[in-house]
Amino acid sequence: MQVAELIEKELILIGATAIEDKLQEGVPNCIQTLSRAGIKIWVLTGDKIETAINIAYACNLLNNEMKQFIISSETDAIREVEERGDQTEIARFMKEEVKKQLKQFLDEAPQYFCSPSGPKLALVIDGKCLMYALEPSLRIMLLTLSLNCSSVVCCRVSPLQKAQVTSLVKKGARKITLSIGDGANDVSMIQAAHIGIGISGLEGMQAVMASDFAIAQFRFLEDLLLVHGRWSYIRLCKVVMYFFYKNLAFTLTQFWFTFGTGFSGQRFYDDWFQSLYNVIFTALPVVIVGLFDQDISSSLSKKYPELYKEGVRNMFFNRRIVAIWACFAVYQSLVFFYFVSLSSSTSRDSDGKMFGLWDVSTMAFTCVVVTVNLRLLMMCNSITRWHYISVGGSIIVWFVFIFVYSGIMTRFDRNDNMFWVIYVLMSTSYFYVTLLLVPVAALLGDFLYLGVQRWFFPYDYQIVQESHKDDADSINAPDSQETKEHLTPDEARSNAISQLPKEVSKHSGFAFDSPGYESFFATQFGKYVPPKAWDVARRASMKSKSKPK
Amino acid sequence: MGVIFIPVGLVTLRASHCVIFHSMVVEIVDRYDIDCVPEPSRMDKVSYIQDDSIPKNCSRFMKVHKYMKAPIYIYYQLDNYYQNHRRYVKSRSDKQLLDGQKYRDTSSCQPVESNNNRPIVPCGLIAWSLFNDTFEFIREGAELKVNRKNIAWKSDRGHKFGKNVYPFNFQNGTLIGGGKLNPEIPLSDQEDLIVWMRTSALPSFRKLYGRIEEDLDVDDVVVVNLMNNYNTYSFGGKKKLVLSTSSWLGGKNDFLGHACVFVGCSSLTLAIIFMLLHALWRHELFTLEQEKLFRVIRTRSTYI
Repeated sequence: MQVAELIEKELILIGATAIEDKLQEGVPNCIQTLSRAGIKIWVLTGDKIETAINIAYACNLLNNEMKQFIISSETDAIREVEERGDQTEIARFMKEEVKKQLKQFLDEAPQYFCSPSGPKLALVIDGKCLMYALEPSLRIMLLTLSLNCSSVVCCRVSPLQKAQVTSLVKKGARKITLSIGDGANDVSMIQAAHIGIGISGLEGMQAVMASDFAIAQFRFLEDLLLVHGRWSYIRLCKVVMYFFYKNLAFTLTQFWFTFGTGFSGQRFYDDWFQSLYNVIFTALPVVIVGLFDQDISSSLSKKYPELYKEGVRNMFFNRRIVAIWACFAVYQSLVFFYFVSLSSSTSRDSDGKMFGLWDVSTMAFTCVVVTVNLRLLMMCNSITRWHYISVGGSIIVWFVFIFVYSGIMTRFDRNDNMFWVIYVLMSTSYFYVTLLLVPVAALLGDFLYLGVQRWFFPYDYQIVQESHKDDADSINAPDSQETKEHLTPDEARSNAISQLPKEVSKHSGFAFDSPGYESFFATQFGKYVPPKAWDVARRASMKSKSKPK
Repeated sequence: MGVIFIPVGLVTLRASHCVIFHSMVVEIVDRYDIDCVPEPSRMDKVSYIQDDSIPKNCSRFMKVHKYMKAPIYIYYQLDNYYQNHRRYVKSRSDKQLLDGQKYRDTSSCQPVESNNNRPIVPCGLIAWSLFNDTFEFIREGAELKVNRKNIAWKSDRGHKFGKNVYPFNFQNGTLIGGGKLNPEIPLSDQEDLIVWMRTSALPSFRKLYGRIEEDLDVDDVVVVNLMNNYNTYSFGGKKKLVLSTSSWLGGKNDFLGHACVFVGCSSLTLAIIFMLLHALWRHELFTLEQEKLFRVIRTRSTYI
């Protein structure tokens, strides 16, 4: 340092360079939307604490109203101990400090928590302190404190610590974690989380290669989670529930039959029907639903990020939903079996001939296929022409199959085959009456349930659907200019205020690399900040004092 | 939602049809298996039915309570008879029915496959248990002509039972299960057998016996001379004779009529209720302005 001071004097300032590492476009909006969706966002960065705090302010993660808990290793007390140089003493002292601070903040936190309108909490922690805080003895306190905070900023963290923090939340809090990063130092974090996302960009492709999903810009995370993630959850729930339902309805119909056969195990359906049920007659429509179903459009999904919480709460695949579907499957199977068998006990064609076992079972199977496919149409949120094609197609394929199957009799058939069954059935008017009656009777219960649920106990997404059902297809809400006339005076005032330039925060989003000029700039603002030991300005001023000889 | 109202409307239309047809079919049912057992044998009906020396003829009276238009179908109804039992349904050989003795692989017909080392045609329990009660109908002294042709499905007669296959070694064993077959008549013309071999779905079923081509007036008394040959006494089964007219929907079926009416009415009620709800009571949640909607969604979703 002293040699540098000997050399660097009487220099002429020519210019200054600065590096601007700008935030990507749309990041603050994205983070704000995601936190509205109930997703907690933590920042783990290798930058120093001031930079990290400034970035957090720029991103809307921190603001002036929040109560910030700062655990930093750059306090005076720690610096003093570090200057003494004794490693074990440093370690012990830092651990004590961290423990003390954690305890203090943990005690303070509940009072803010209790009042719902109180300030939110934020935690800022340094890499060195994190090293001690992640030890088994302090880990639980750290986890509890950080889970109570709405945002957490960790600065000066090494890649290993990033992974450790992620694992801490993943295993300790048992929440789903998502890591997003763009550099090679984020790779361990990306792999430690449940879902790792790499941003492909200027820093190379290491993060992308280690990740589960790769996106091009940070703001696409909003689309990924709120639109595609949400749709994916809804589609998956629907597909799984429907699969169980249709197989339950199909199998239980046979089950009720066993009560009438003396429990001998006689099949109700033909073998081919059973095998092809899941392969041809009911497979394609549910695949179409799983691919194309959208409950609300993508722009609306981003407009109401709170709808994401439906997935977090697992509202569409829990015990209650499964029980309801199972009940309806049981009810429908009862309808299928008893309607068909009781009504066919005296039904006959125009010439008085009675139906046999295979006629009744073909009738029942036709009703099952038709009803189950129609039920799918009832549970879709969006119907495209592919839905109609696949549902209609499945039913038509069933008829084509049974026409072919019962029209052919070969040497290789099993005993008592289905020869001519469907033609016999379709020559009776009983067939058409039952084909109309049974699906309606079976779906009556579902229709009633869905109607009542949607009308009296709607889900959030259904409310959004109904209020926006008159909107134009792809265009979202009308321009805000148009809605101004409909606002009350109060709302107009608050609208106008929010459009004024925001108050200037003392954190401007810029941070300087060297900490030594803080006191210098502080004096420029008219504030007195006691200079720190490493303050360059102080050293410079000291040197100049001792200079005169 | 509106799309669902349409089939609902259709169903209600049908409900009116159901009410109409419900009353058009006339049916007379007579259970005869208990009453046709003569007094001394009432204690041990099984030995009565198995004893060939006791004559099995019996006379029953059926009174017509409503005008019945020809053709009138004659059915025999069996209750507690499990034609849908797995071992029973399995016990036949369709290939043998087409090919006769030439076809050798009749193992599915066990134990009624062969007798004294000679194959049985048609083999299997279904054929072995052929129903063999016979009925004759007399009205005012004159016999009513019963048409016993064309009582089996045409597809069965034409394609499932061979025209050159004759019964062979049939019902020759020690255990008699049912009726005998005339070995001179090919299987495709043995309509009773064909009707019997179309196994039914439920333990209580009817099978067509024949047709009466004349009308029956109100208060006609039909005398039925029947031969009570078939043994349903060993397992507590019931035998009934049914005379029935037919409508476009089939026989008399209370269930179908009631189901029709019920489904039609409930669908109509639901349709009306939902239409009223939509038209009159615009749900307040669904017509909120956007600002309020934001707030509602936000407050609803904070309960995590």
